[in-house]
Amino acid sequence: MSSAPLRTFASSACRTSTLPRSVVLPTLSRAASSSSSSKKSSSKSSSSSPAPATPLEEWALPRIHLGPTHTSRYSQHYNSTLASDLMYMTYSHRLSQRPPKPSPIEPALTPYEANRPRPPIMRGNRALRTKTTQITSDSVPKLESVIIHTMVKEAIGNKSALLSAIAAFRAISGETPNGGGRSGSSGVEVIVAKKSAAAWKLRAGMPVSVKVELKGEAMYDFIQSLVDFVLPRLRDFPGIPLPPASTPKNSPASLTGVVSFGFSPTAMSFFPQIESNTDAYPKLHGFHVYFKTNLRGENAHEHARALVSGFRIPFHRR
Amino acid sequence: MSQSLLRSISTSPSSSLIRPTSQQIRTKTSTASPSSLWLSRTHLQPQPSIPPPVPPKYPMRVVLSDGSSFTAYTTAPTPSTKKLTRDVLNNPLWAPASERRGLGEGEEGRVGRFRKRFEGLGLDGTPAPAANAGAGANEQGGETKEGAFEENDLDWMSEGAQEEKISEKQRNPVKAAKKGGKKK
Repeated sequence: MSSAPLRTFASSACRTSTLPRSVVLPTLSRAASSSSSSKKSSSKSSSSSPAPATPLEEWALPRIHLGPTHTSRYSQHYNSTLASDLMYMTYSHRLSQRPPKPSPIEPALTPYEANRPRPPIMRGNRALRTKTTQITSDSVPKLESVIIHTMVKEAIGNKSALLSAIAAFRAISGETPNGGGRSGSSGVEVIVAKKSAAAWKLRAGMPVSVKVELKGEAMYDFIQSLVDFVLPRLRDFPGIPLPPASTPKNSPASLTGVVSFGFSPTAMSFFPQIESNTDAYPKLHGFHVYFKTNLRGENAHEHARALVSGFRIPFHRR
Repeated sequence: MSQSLLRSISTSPSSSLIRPTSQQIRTKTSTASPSSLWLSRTHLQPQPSIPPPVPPKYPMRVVLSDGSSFTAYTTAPTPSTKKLTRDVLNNPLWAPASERRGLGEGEEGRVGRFRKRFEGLGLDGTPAPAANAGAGANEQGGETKEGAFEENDLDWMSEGAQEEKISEKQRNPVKAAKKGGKKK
């Protein structure tokens, strides 16, 4: 259905370009000679001697991209049950029915203020918080990406210590940069120190850590292997600790809907990808997981945690 | 003479070079080509190439502790079927009721050892559903699967309620008497 207009579009383009084609074609084709030879061959075949046109010259590489290879349970779970539940749970009538704000009556600008940028509205010593995402059927709490990150301390001394982390992350995520022509998959990235810290013999520009950003189906696959294989098999795992009640509600960290937590090196050994050949990895590393959601502003952190716990990731109060 | 020469040098490039470039720029910004010629912009896309490779993914049949299974697609090639002894279904963190029923330990720990030793003795009288379910999970998953929801599934609720009504003194009079004596 979607391809139909495209096709008509292309055909119309061809029709329009029929007239000046002789002019355009040689410039377009990579090798003008090949096009001319193919023309010749076609004319010849029509007339007398059927010269075998080499298929390689005629054949052009099509656009290749990897489609979905399998269905992922957790994305189905999100789409079928979690999305509607979260909408029901996090819906705020107050936000949705808030009348439009009347334009504030502003005092006349002093000559000083007249053509200057207005200063931000302050609450305490902070600028006013970011706008809260209003939850509607279009903007249900949703995972944008999952980031796995590990900092390898030994990498300061020798860079090759990063290799095991890179290999492990690649096995866990199954992602390569732009792999299969899928845009948005970053693959395993090596991260470089931004600042130098003399106490740790760290200089700016040293490769110290590794991260992967997972999006789409790969993200849900990672959640599956985390929840079904890793978390239940961790010894004395009490759940992911909630931040203490004393955490400020207006801090920038709690206004962005990112849920993050860390795991010990033993957790990595429970991933089936790693478990299948643990000996291949000289060292196992602990790692941080960041769940990036589309939520912002007031209650963003709680709603994000509700979303993450919907994937059977347990939280507990300290 | 010299002035005229200079003039000629200075003016000639401006007339030959600068004007055409300015004209070119103008034409580019206004209309690159007749719109009918380039209706599609596919010619602006990069040449198609073979995309970068992806690590292979293998299907793995995962059998959970209650006998249900699903297929996971991971980069792990080896176990084509993986049986999980500890998972979300029997971990007390996810299923707190299982702990209360005495199911929590599974095959490990004191309860597990006790259960292993006295499996065939039919000791599952008082904590009947618990022991039954435990044995089912250990050995005969089929039996429990058949009657997924049975009448005696809710027994633990009623019995538990009855048991809780009994006071400590009633349950273990000797102990209670001792405690009382100590206090006094």
